[in-house]
Amino acid sequence: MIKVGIILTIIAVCFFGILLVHEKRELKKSASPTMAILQTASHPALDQVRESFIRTILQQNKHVHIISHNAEGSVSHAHTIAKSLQSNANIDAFFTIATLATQVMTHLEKQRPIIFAAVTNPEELGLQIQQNVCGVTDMTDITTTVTLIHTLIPTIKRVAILFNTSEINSIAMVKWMHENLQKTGIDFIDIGITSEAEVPSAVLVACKKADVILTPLDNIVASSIQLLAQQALHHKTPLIVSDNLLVKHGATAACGVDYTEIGKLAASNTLQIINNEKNIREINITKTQNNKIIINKNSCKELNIAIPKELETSTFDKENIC
Amino acid sequence: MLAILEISKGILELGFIYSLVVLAVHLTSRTIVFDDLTMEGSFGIGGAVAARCALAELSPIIALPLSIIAGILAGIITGLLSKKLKLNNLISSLIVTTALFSISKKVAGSAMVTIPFACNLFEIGIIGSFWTKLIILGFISFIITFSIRWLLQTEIGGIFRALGSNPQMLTNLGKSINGYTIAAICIANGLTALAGALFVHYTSFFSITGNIGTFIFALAGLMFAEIISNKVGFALIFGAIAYPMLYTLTIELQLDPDLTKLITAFMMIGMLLLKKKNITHLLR
Repeated sequence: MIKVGIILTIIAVCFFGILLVHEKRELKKSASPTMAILQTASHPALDQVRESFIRTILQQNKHVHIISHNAEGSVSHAHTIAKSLQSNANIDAFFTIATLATQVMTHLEKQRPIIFAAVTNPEELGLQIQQNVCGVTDMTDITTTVTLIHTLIPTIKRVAILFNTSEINSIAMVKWMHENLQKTGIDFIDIGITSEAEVPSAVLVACKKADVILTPLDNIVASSIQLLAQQALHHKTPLIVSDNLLVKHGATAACGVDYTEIGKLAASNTLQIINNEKNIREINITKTQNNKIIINKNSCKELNIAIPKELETSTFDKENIC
Repeated sequence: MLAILEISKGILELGFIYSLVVLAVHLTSRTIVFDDLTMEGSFGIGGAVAARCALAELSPIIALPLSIIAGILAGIITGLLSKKLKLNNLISSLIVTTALFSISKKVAGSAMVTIPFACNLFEIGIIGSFWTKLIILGFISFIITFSIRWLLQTEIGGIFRALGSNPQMLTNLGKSINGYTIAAICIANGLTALAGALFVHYTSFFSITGNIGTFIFALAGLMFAEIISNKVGFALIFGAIAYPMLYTLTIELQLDPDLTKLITAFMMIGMLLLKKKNITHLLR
């Protein structure tokens, strides 16, 4: 009897809690629009997308109410959060950051608009077909990256591509890299990793076997960049990344998209939808236009890389890191 | 009010899927006392097999048994490593989990696979019905939980229980300890693989990282279940539902998203304080 009592009490308390919160929210409902953000995981690039998105939205319309959630990389948590957001009738639009969050949200919600950002290959997820979805990809222009490698290190023979084998965004970019490197006649080897713990030994192998390390947009690379940069510098191997934010942490150079720009672009799309200026069907999946080259002067000096004159403007020193 | 209904439905569905893993953890860690981390891998391989079958346009009716077989194979390997090569339990299950990561990826063909609409278990049958998922998952969960409960009451179940409490007795009776241990591990991993396959159909995509944290999730569920009872039955299903329930409640509170896990942890403490002994003590 006690057992049944305990079960009933616990269930009742939990459901009462949820009910209470819901009631409160129903009362709060006002004319101002509500946005829900679902972020896949915390790392510099994705955080920057979220911050610039929120900033842009609030600059344009102070009354937008924003609910922000982070799944921290777990599929089941992402699903639970998405379910809870979907059943909240007050939300007018959803903003999803990175592949996992987008995948989960678009599967559950088929009516209200979903705007995604930082998804590298939306075609593979079938997002272009779904009527209520639009967004901004973060695919970088790999041809410019390859040209950058060529201009910085003219004597290059072989590139080691270091990437996480369990992220489809990485794999898609690596495929592009292969095609472009083949065209220019540079040899390459693939080094796959699956966790942060494997980074040190992977870097060691990469430095021994190749002249340059190249990485795609990759969550493991992003979170272990300090270690990666330090090791590469120690072995006198340049490290070219695809995310400009990582150059500040010690990578040699990058030619990537600006995540602040992605956040802004997504925000302006969202505002058009919230203000009923445009229907979501009229907005296509967009790509940021300007790939910015950024070079780390200190790292180049240590590696004896001469920076060409035309790239002088895009360098930066350790002293003026903002 | 409808929103509440929908949220609770989501909680129950996820809980029913994980109840199979909780059951598997109960079977290994509690009944035969063999801490088996292979769960984490077999959840993944079950999902990978389901994804591959869906891509090959096989009916889920065929896909689910294939997933279970994949899980059973994983269990056999763990069992053989531990019993024949005399490796440590945890080490042998870790080895298998590590290997299963690569195997899952090869089986599924990619790190992320979307299940075609036509091959989704929850889209065939009663199409579009609001309750379909809940009914199917609830049915599977209850049927399996109570068949395991029945199994543990048979002679084989008696041997399983003896494996945990008194293996010497089995030797005296002339029963093969290794054989029965491997059998129990196989059942547990088959159940976990089934849960993995159901999870993939439920979320309609397979992700190679989808299995991370399964074991912790299930262990938390088992702890909650043991507040109520140590036996196989409703308690296990309730335990599996408890964790997603707490997590949903945390999300519903809409506080700082960075603090979500902290709040969940506090709630878990609160819930575990309700442990049976404490309650009976208070009532006295």
